Amino acid sequence: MNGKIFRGSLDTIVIKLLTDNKEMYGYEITQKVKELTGGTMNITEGALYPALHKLEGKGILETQTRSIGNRMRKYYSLTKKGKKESVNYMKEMQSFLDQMQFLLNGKNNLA
Amino acid sequence: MNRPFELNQEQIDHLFKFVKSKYVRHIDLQYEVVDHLASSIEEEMMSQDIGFEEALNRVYGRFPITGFAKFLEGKEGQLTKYWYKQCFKYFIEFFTIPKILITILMGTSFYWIFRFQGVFASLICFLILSIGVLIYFYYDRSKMKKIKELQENYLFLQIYYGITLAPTFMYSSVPWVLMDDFHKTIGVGADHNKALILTCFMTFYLLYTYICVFRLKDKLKEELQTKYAHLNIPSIV
Repeated sequence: MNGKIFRGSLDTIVIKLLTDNKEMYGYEITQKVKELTGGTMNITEGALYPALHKLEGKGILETQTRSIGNRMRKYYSLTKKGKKESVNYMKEMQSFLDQMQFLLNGKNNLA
Repeated sequence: MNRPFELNQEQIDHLFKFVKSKYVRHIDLQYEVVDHLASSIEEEMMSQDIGFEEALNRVYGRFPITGFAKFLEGKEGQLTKYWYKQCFKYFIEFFTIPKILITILMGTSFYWIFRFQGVFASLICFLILSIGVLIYFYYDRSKMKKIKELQENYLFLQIYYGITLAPTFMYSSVPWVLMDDFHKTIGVGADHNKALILTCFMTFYLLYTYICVFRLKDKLKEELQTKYAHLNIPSIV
């Protein structure tokens, strides 16, 4: 999978996962993506955390830290603003996919 | 995601030392990195049937060549943005009807002093700035040493104090430069433009000090009891 395309969609992927799962921690997100895509998509740590921090900075995500066994774990969830914004993120992504499909199909037709 | 196998305390402690050696020196960030590493290592140890050290090397190898640098950079940016947003929010909230009138009255008084009072304006300027700085010292002097220590250990406090303390002292140096001109015009008062600049500056300076000293401090106290409660930071703010 082309890393650049994937990275550009990371915010939407995170928001979609948190819409479906209420709250998740960093590692769990990476594993969930791997599981849902049958291992074809891998989110690297170097890409995931900056994306999570960016979304937190925008007020789309909030965090809660809880004790899990012998360590602390930080959970991410959507804020009220995030829940509202998630609809726009999904719409934008869908529109992008439709346009891409149209462009690619168009090229195929020409060929 | 419940895991059937968990690293022991000794291994977790080793991970804290490891991330510290990789320049994640802030405790608030170490928690998140350690949990991520620990979860990945547990998975690796179970699926590949390998030891802790080997699993750690493999997991760390998946990070970019810069290690945790991107992680730190992102977190720093997020926290900076967050505290500036809070500051802006309180700034906007401040402008309710009675407070707008007080601000206009304050600004008008400043203008009158700077424009028409000459030396007296310098003295008032000096007095207000000194009071502003004194308020800070009154609140924080005894705590400065502790604050410095906390800033080194916690990134969110480093950013918070960077935004609330540093600019106040920086701003307080600007009028001294402007006041230099006042002494050349003793008894005359500043011209319209200079008086206007000083008025805007002094009004903003006082509002900013008020927001930092009272409103942002309350916000930090609230966050220490909720968002950062797990860090058990002594309440010194």
